[in-house]
Amino acid sequence: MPLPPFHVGVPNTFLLDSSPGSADAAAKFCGFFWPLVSRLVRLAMARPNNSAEVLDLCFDMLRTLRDAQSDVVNLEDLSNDWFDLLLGYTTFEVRPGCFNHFLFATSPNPALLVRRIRPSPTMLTLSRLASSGSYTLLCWRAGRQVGRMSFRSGLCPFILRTRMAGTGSLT
Amino acid sequence: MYDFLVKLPADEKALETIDDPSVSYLDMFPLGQPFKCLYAVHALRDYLKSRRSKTAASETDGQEGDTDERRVAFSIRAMSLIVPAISDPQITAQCRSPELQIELGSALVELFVSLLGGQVNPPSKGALMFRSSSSCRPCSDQELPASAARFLDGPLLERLLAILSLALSADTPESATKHVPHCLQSILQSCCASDAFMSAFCAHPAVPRLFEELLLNERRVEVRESTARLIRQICGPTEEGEGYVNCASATISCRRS
Repeated sequence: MPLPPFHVGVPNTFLLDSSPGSADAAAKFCGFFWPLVSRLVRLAMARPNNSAEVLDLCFDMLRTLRDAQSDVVNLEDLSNDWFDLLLGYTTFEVRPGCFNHFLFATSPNPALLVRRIRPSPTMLTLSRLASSGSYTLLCWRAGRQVGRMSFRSGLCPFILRTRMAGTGSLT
Repeated sequence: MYDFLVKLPADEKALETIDDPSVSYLDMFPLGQPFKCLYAVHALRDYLKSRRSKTAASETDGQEGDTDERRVAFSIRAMSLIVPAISDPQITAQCRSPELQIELGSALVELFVSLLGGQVNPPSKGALMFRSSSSCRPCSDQELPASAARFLDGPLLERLLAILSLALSADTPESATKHVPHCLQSILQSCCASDAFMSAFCAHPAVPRLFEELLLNERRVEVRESTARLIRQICGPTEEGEGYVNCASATISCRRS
Protein backbone atom coordinates (compact mmCIF):
# COMPACT_ATOMS: atom_id res chain seq x y z
CA MET A 1 0.00 0.00 0.00
CA PRO A 2 1.55 3.33 -0.96
CA LEU A 3 2.25 5.56 1.97
CA PRO A 4 0.51 8.89 2.11
CA PRO A 5 2.77 11.90 2.34
CA PHE A 6 3.43 12.61 5.97
CA HIS A 7 5.76 15.56 5.70
CA VAL A 8 2.92 18.04 5.89
CA GLY A 9 3.95 21.57 5.14
CA VAL A 10 7.37 20.57 3.89
CA PRO A 11 8.40 20.74 0.23
CA ASN A 12 8.56 17.35 -1.44
CA THR A 13 12.08 17.99 -2.59
CA PHE A 14 14.59 19.54 -0.29
CA LEU A 15 17.06 21.54 -2.31
CA LEU A 16 20.17 22.91 -0.73
CA ASP A 17 21.22 26.44 -1.31
CA SER A 18 24.93 25.89 -1.70
CA SER A 19 25.84 29.53 -2.15
CA PRO A 20 28.61 30.71 0.14
CA GLY A 21 27.39 32.06 3.43
CA SER A 22 23.94 30.53 2.95
CA ALA A 23 21.82 29.05 5.74
CA ASP A 24 23.42 27.14 8.51
CA ALA A 25 24.36 23.54 7.69
CA ALA A 26 22.77 22.14 10.82
CA ALA A 27 19.49 23.84 9.95
CA LYS A 28 19.83 22.28 6.50
CA PHE A 29 20.30 18.91 8.15
CA CYS A 30 17.14 19.48 10.16
CA GLY A 31 15.32 20.53 7.01
CA PHE A 32 16.53 17.43 5.24
CA PHE A 33 15.99 14.92 8.03
CA TRP A 34 12.65 16.18 9.33
CA PRO A 35 10.49 14.97 6.41
CA LEU A 36 12.52 11.79 6.25
CA VAL A 37 12.14 10.97 9.94
CA SER A 38 8.58 12.23 10.42
CA ARG A 39 7.47 10.06 7.49
CA LEU A 40 8.57 7.06 9.54
CA VAL A 41 6.15 7.80 12.39
CA ARG A 42 3.29 6.19 10.53
CA LEU A 43 5.39 3.10 9.86
CA ALA A 44 6.75 3.04 13.41
CA MET A 45 3.26 2.75 14.86
CA ALA A 46 2.97 -0.65 13.24
CA ARG A 47 6.36 -1.72 14.61
CA PRO A 48 6.07 -1.18 18.37
CA ASN A 49 9.18 -3.22 19.11
CA ASN A 50 11.35 -1.04 16.88
CA SER A 51 9.56 2.29 17.21
CA ALA A 52 11.20 3.93 20.22
CA GLU A 53 14.19 5.35 18.33
CA VAL A 54 12.10 6.91 15.56
CA LEU A 55 9.52 8.39 17.92
CA ASP A 56 12.09 9.71 20.38
CA LEU A 57 14.15 11.22 17.57
CA CYS A 58 11.05 12.75 16.00
CA PHE A 59 10.06 14.25 19.32
CA ASP A 60 13.51 15.77 19.86
CA MET A 61 13.70 17.12 16.32
CA LEU A 62 10.28 18.71 16.53
CA ARG A 63 11.18 20.33 19.84
CA THR A 64 14.38 21.68 18.29
CA LEU A 65 12.53 23.00 15.26
CA ARG A 66 9.90 24.60 17.47
CA ASP A 67 12.52 26.25 19.68
CA ALA A 68 14.29 27.55 16.60
CA GLN A 69 10.94 28.83 15.26
CA SER A 70 11.71 26.99 12.06
CA ASP A 71 9.27 27.13 9.20
CA VAL A 72 10.30 23.64 8.09
CA VAL A 73 7.28 22.17 9.81
CA ASN A 74 3.66 23.30 9.72
CA LEU A 75 2.60 22.55 13.29
CA GLU A 76 -1.12 22.88 12.71
CA ASP A 77 -1.17 20.47 9.79
CA LEU A 78 1.16 18.14 11.64
CA SER A 79 -1.01 18.12 14.76
CA ASN A 80 -4.06 17.31 12.64
CA ASP A 81 -2.26 14.44 10.98
CA TRP A 82 -0.90 12.99 14.18
CA PHE A 83 -4.20 13.41 15.96
CA ASP A 84 -5.77 11.38 13.16
CA LEU A 85 -3.11 8.75 13.74
CA LEU A 86 -3.91 8.69 17.42
CA LEU A 87 -7.63 8.34 16.81
CA GLY A 88 -7.14 5.61 14.27
CA TYR A 89 -4.77 3.66 16.47
CA THR A 90 -5.93 0.47 18.07
CA THR A 91 -3.75 -0.93 20.76
CA PHE A 92 -2.83 -4.54 20.24
CA GLU A 93 -0.43 -4.99 23.10
CA VAL A 94 -1.99 -7.61 25.31
CA ARG A 95 0.82 -8.61 27.63
CA PRO A 96 0.89 -6.71 30.93
CA GLY A 97 3.90 -4.43 31.08
CA CYS A 98 4.30 -4.32 27.32
CA PHE A 99 4.14 -0.67 26.45
CA ASN A 100 3.82 0.94 23.11
CA HIS A 101 5.45 4.27 22.57
CA PHE A 102 2.97 6.67 21.18
CA LEU A 103 3.11 10.15 19.85
CA PHE A 104 0.40 12.63 20.41
CA ALA A 105 0.32 15.99 18.73
CA THR A 106 -1.59 18.85 20.23
CA SER A 107 -2.81 22.03 18.71
CA PRO A 108 -3.02 25.53 20.16
CA ASN A 109 -6.62 25.62 18.98
CA PRO A 110 -8.87 23.27 21.02
CA ALA A 111 -11.70 23.54 18.49
CA LEU A 112 -9.38 22.07 15.94
CA LEU A 113 -8.91 18.97 18.03
CA VAL A 114 -12.56 18.53 18.93
CA ARG A 115 -13.45 18.72 15.26
CA ARG A 116 -11.19 15.76 14.54
CA ILE A 117 -12.91 13.45 17.01
CA ARG A 118 -14.84 10.67 15.37
CA PRO A 119 -16.00 7.18 16.26
CA SER A 120 -13.13 4.75 16.52
CA PRO A 121 -12.25 1.66 18.57
CA THR A 122 -10.43 3.93 20.97
CA MET A 123 -12.41 7.10 21.43
CA LEU A 124 -10.72 10.26 22.61
CA THR A 125 -12.44 13.34 23.85
CA LEU A 126 -10.87 16.60 24.77
CA SER A 127 -12.21 19.22 27.10
CA ARG A 128 -10.76 22.50 28.16
CA LEU A 129 -10.88 23.64 31.72
CA ALA A 130 -11.30 27.35 31.30
CA SER A 131 -10.47 28.19 34.86
CA SER A 132 -7.09 26.49 34.88
CA GLY A 133 -6.28 26.95 31.24
CA SER A 134 -5.50 23.27 30.87
CA TYR A 135 -6.79 20.48 28.68
CA THR A 136 -7.96 17.06 29.68
CA LEU A 137 -7.80 14.15 27.30
CA LEU A 138 -10.09 11.24 27.98
CA CYS A 139 -9.63 7.86 26.41
CA TRP A 140 -12.75 5.73 25.89
CA ARG A 141 -13.14 2.16 24.80
CA ALA A 142 -16.45 0.34 24.41
CA GLY A 143 -18.26 3.16 26.16
CA ARG A 144 -15.97 3.02 29.17
CA GLN A 145 -13.42 5.61 30.14
CA VAL A 146 -10.08 3.87 30.27
CA GLY A 147 -7.64 6.73 30.46
CA ARG A 148 -7.24 10.35 31.36
CA MET A 149 -4.48 12.82 30.82
CA SER A 150 -4.21 16.52 31.55
CA PHE A 151 -1.78 18.99 30.12
CA ARG A 152 -1.30 22.73 30.23
CA SER A 153 -2.31 24.80 27.24
CA GLY A 154 0.76 26.95 27.79
CA LEU A 155 2.87 24.14 26.45
CA CYS A 156 1.01 24.03 23.15
CA PRO A 157 1.93 23.38 20.45
CA PHE A 158 4.13 20.48 21.34
CA ILE A 159 4.18 16.74 21.40
CA LEU A 160 3.48 14.64 24.41
CA ARG A 161 5.00 11.23 24.50
CA THR A 162 2.60 8.87 26.08
CA ARG A 163 2.72 5.22 26.65
CA MET A 164 -0.47 3.36 26.13
CA ALA A 165 -0.58 0.21 28.16
CA GLY A 166 -2.26 -2.98 27.08
CA THR A 167 -5.06 -2.20 29.47
CA GLY A 168 -5.72 1.02 27.59
CA SER A 169 -4.78 3.36 30.39
CA LEU A 170 -2.78 6.42 29.53
CA THR A 171 0.19 7.19 31.73
CA MET B 1 51.83 -10.93 13.56
CA TYR B 2 49.69 -7.97 12.55
CA ASP B 3 48.00 -7.84 15.96
CA PHE B 4 51.45 -7.68 17.55
CA LEU B 5 52.84 -5.04 15.19
CA VAL B 6 50.00 -2.59 15.67
CA LYS B 7 50.67 -2.55 19.40
CA LEU B 8 54.05 -0.96 18.67
CA PRO B 9 54.70 2.54 17.37
CA ALA B 10 54.61 2.68 13.59
CA ASP B 11 57.81 1.96 11.72
CA GLU B 12 59.86 5.12 11.05
CA LYS B 13 60.29 4.21 7.40
CA ALA B 14 56.56 3.88 7.00
CA LEU B 15 56.09 7.33 8.52
CA GLU B 16 58.72 8.80 6.20
CA THR B 17 56.94 7.23 3.26
CA ILE B 18 53.80 9.17 4.09
CA ASP B 19 55.68 12.45 3.70
CA ASP B 20 57.02 11.48 0.30
CA PRO B 21 54.69 13.03 -2.31
CA SER B 22 55.81 10.55 -4.96
CA VAL B 23 54.22 7.73 -2.99
CA SER B 24 50.70 7.03 -4.23
CA TYR B 25 47.77 5.57 -2.34
CA LEU B 26 48.37 2.26 -4.14
CA ASP B 27 51.92 2.21 -2.83
CA MET B 28 50.56 2.74 0.66
CA PHE B 29 47.61 0.39 0.26
CA PRO B 30 48.78 -2.36 -2.13
CA LEU B 31 46.04 -4.35 -3.81
CA GLY B 32 45.56 -7.87 -2.51
CA GLN B 33 47.58 -7.25 0.64
CA PRO B 34 45.00 -6.44 3.29
CA PHE B 35 47.33 -6.67 6.26
CA LYS B 36 49.80 -4.26 4.67
CA CYS B 37 46.85 -1.96 4.10
CA LEU B 38 45.76 -2.31 7.73
CA TYR B 39 49.32 -1.58 8.83
CA ALA B 40 49.34 1.51 6.60
CA VAL B 41 46.21 2.68 8.38
CA HIS B 42 48.02 2.15 11.68
CA ALA B 43 51.02 4.16 10.39
CA LEU B 44 48.79 6.99 9.16
CA ARG B 45 47.01 7.06 12.50
CA ASP B 46 50.38 7.34 14.29
CA TYR B 47 51.43 10.01 11.81
CA LEU B 48 48.36 12.14 12.58
CA LYS B 49 48.71 11.51 16.29
CA SER B 50 52.33 12.66 16.37
CA ARG B 51 51.46 15.80 14.39
CA ARG B 52 48.64 16.62 16.77
CA SER B 53 50.87 16.02 19.79
CA LYS B 54 53.42 18.47 18.38
CA THR B 55 50.69 21.04 17.84
CA ALA B 56 49.35 20.59 21.36
CA ALA B 57 52.85 20.81 22.86
CA SER B 58 53.66 23.99 20.95
CA GLU B 59 50.43 25.60 22.16
CA THR B 60 50.77 24.65 25.83
CA ASP B 61 54.55 24.73 26.40
CA GLY B 62 55.61 27.19 23.76
CA GLN B 63 57.70 24.49 22.12
CA GLU B 64 58.56 24.83 18.49
CA GLY B 65 55.78 23.24 16.46
CA ASP B 66 54.61 22.96 12.90
CA THR B 67 53.64 26.09 11.03
CA ASP B 68 50.09 26.52 9.81
CA GLU B 69 51.24 25.79 6.28
CA ARG B 70 52.90 22.55 7.40
CA ARG B 71 49.83 21.47 9.32
CA VAL B 72 47.62 22.13 6.33
CA ALA B 73 50.05 20.23 4.12
CA PHE B 74 49.99 17.21 6.46
CA SER B 75 46.20 17.14 6.45
CA ILE B 76 46.05 17.44 2.68
CA ARG B 77 48.67 14.73 2.27
CA ALA B 78 46.81 12.35 4.58
CA MET B 79 43.55 13.14 2.78
CA SER B 80 45.16 12.52 -0.62
CA LEU B 81 46.05 9.01 0.53
CA ILE B 82 43.00 7.99 2.52
CA VAL B 83 40.21 9.26 0.23
CA PRO B 84 41.46 7.49 -2.94
CA ALA B 85 41.98 4.35 -0.85
CA ILE B 86 38.36 4.48 0.31
CA SER B 87 37.12 5.37 -3.16
CA ASP B 88 38.93 2.47 -4.86
CA PRO B 89 36.66 -0.55 -4.40
CA GLN B 90 39.51 -2.90 -5.32
CA ILE B 91 41.35 -2.12 -2.09
CA THR B 92 38.75 -3.95 -0.04
CA ALA B 93 37.39 -6.22 -2.76
CA GLN B 94 40.66 -8.12 -2.99
CA CYS B 95 40.51 -9.20 0.64
CA ARG B 96 39.99 -12.94 0.98
CA SER B 97 36.99 -12.90 3.30
CA PRO B 98 33.99 -10.58 3.77
CA GLU B 99 35.06 -10.14 7.40
CA LEU B 100 38.44 -8.82 6.31
CA GLN B 101 36.76 -6.57 3.73
CA ILE B 102 34.64 -5.04 6.46
CA GLU B 103 37.62 -4.77 8.82
CA LEU B 104 39.74 -2.91 6.27
CA GLY B 105 36.87 -0.74 5.04
CA SER B 106 36.00 0.19 8.60
CA ALA B 107 39.64 0.96 9.48
CA LEU B 108 39.91 3.29 6.50
CA VAL B 109 36.63 4.99 7.37
CA GLU B 110 37.59 5.37 11.03
CA LEU B 111 40.83 7.08 10.05
CA PHE B 112 38.92 9.26 7.61
CA VAL B 113 36.56 10.39 10.39
CA SER B 114 39.54 11.21 12.56
CA LEU B 115 41.00 13.25 9.73
CA LEU B 116 37.74 15.13 9.34
CA GLY B 117 37.95 16.13 12.96
CA GLY B 118 35.35 13.82 14.48
CA GLN B 119 36.12 12.10 17.72
CA VAL B 120 36.42 8.39 17.18
CA ASN B 121 36.46 6.73 20.55
CA PRO B 122 36.16 3.11 21.61
CA PRO B 123 32.63 1.97 20.85
CA SER B 124 30.36 2.83 23.72
CA LYS B 125 27.10 4.60 24.22
CA GLY B 126 27.42 8.23 23.28
CA ALA B 127 31.00 7.83 22.06
CA LEU B 128 30.40 9.17 18.59
CA MET B 129 30.62 12.91 18.61
CA PHE B 130 30.65 15.74 16.16
CA ARG B 131 32.78 18.72 16.85
CA SER B 132 30.70 21.74 17.70
CA SER B 133 31.59 25.23 16.59
CA SER B 134 32.59 26.13 20.13
CA SER B 135 35.46 23.66 20.04
CA CYS B 136 36.64 24.73 16.60
CA ARG B 137 39.93 26.53 16.83
CA PRO B 138 41.22 28.33 13.74
CA CYS B 139 44.31 26.70 12.24
CA SER B 140 44.05 23.70 14.55
CA ASP B 141 45.67 20.59 13.19
CA GLN B 142 42.43 18.76 13.88
CA GLU B 143 40.54 20.94 11.47
CA LEU B 144 40.05 20.23 7.85
CA PRO B 145 41.66 22.84 5.62
CA ALA B 146 39.27 24.29 3.06
CA SER B 147 41.38 22.91 0.22
CA ALA B 148 40.73 19.39 1.52
CA ALA B 149 37.03 19.76 0.80
CA ARG B 150 37.77 19.05 -2.85
CA PHE B 151 38.34 15.41 -1.93
CA LEU B 152 34.75 15.10 -0.69
CA ASP B 153 32.48 14.42 -3.62
CA GLY B 154 29.71 12.23 -5.01
CA PRO B 155 31.90 9.20 -5.86
CA LEU B 156 33.24 9.18 -2.29
CA LEU B 157 29.65 9.23 -1.03
CA GLU B 158 28.86 6.23 -3.23
CA ARG B 159 31.77 4.28 -1.76
CA LEU B 160 30.94 5.23 1.82
CA LEU B 161 27.36 4.09 1.24
CA ALA B 162 28.66 0.81 -0.20
CA ILE B 163 30.98 0.27 2.77
CA LEU B 164 28.09 1.08 5.10
CA SER B 165 25.88 -1.39 3.30
CA LEU B 166 28.53 -4.10 3.61
CA ALA B 167 29.01 -3.37 7.31
CA LEU B 168 25.25 -3.45 7.81
CA SER B 169 25.05 -6.91 6.28
CA ALA B 170 27.53 -8.33 8.77
CA ASP B 171 26.08 -10.06 11.79
CA THR B 172 28.81 -9.25 14.30
CA PRO B 173 28.80 -7.13 17.45
CA GLU B 174 31.54 -4.91 15.95
CA SER B 175 29.38 -4.25 12.94
CA ALA B 176 26.53 -2.88 15.04
CA THR B 177 28.56 -0.93 17.58
CA LYS B 178 31.53 0.22 15.52
CA HIS B 179 31.55 -0.27 11.76
CA VAL B 180 28.07 0.97 10.92
CA PRO B 181 28.16 4.03 13.23
CA HIS B 182 31.60 5.05 11.93
CA CYS B 183 30.46 4.78 8.31
CA LEU B 184 27.42 6.88 9.05
CA GLN B 185 29.47 9.39 10.99
CA SER B 186 31.92 9.71 8.08
CA ILE B 187 29.05 10.54 5.72
CA LEU B 188 27.47 13.14 8.00
CA GLN B 189 30.85 14.64 8.89
CA SER B 190 31.71 14.96 5.19
CA CYS B 191 28.42 16.77 4.67
CA CYS B 192 29.54 19.30 7.29
CA ALA B 193 32.83 19.86 5.51
CA SER B 194 31.68 20.08 1.91
CA ASP B 195 28.66 21.70 0.28
CA ALA B 196 29.11 19.48 -2.78
CA PHE B 197 29.09 16.35 -0.65
CA MET B 198 26.03 17.49 1.25
CA SER B 199 24.17 18.26 -1.97
CA ALA B 200 25.05 14.80 -3.29
CA PHE B 201 23.87 13.27 0.00
CA CYS B 202 20.54 15.11 -0.01
CA ALA B 203 19.89 14.25 -3.65
CA HIS B 204 20.90 10.58 -3.41
CA PRO B 205 17.85 8.38 -4.09
CA ALA B 206 18.98 5.61 -1.73
CA VAL B 207 19.35 7.82 1.34
CA PRO B 208 15.69 7.90 2.52
CA ARG B 209 15.41 4.13 2.29
CA LEU B 210 18.76 3.71 4.03
CA PHE B 211 17.64 5.75 7.02
CA GLU B 212 14.36 3.85 7.16
CA GLU B 213 16.42 0.68 7.43
CA LEU B 214 18.81 2.12 10.00
CA LEU B 215 16.19 3.75 12.21
CA LEU B 216 13.22 1.42 11.96
CA ASN B 217 13.73 -1.88 10.18
CA GLU B 218 17.15 -2.75 11.59
CA ARG B 219 16.69 -5.45 14.20
CA ARG B 220 19.78 -4.51 16.25
CA VAL B 221 18.88 -1.83 18.75
CA GLU B 222 22.50 -0.61 18.87
CA VAL B 223 22.29 0.39 15.20
CA ARG B 224 18.93 2.11 15.61
CA GLU B 225 20.15 3.97 18.68
CA SER B 226 23.47 5.11 17.23
CA THR B 227 21.75 6.30 14.04
CA ALA B 228 19.22 8.33 16.01
CA ARG B 229 22.00 9.70 18.20
CA LEU B 230 24.06 10.86 15.22
CA ILE B 231 21.08 12.57 13.61
CA ARG B 232 20.16 14.16 16.92
CA GLN B 233 23.71 15.47 17.34
CA ILE B 234 23.96 16.93 13.90
CA CYS B 235 20.52 18.53 14.00
CA GLY B 236 20.24 19.38 17.66
CA PRO B 237 21.24 22.29 19.85
CA THR B 238 24.69 22.60 21.37
CA GLU B 239 25.25 21.87 25.04
CA GLU B 240 25.87 25.54 25.62
CA GLY B 241 22.38 26.29 24.38
CA GLU B 242 23.65 28.30 21.47
CA GLY B 243 21.22 26.71 19.07
CA TYR B 244 22.23 24.34 16.31
CA VAL B 245 25.65 22.76 16.13
CA ASN B 246 27.05 25.14 13.60
CA CYS B 247 28.93 22.96 11.17
CA ALA B 248 28.81 25.70 8.55
CA SER B 249 30.60 28.08 10.87
CA ALA B 250 33.21 25.43 11.57
CA THR B 251 33.79 25.04 7.85
CA ILE B 252 33.99 28.78 7.35
CA SER B 253 36.49 29.21 10.15
CA CYS B 254 38.69 26.62 8.52
CA ARG B 255 38.44 28.42 5.20
CA ARG B 256 39.70 31.57 6.80
CA SER B 257 42.84 29.73 7.78
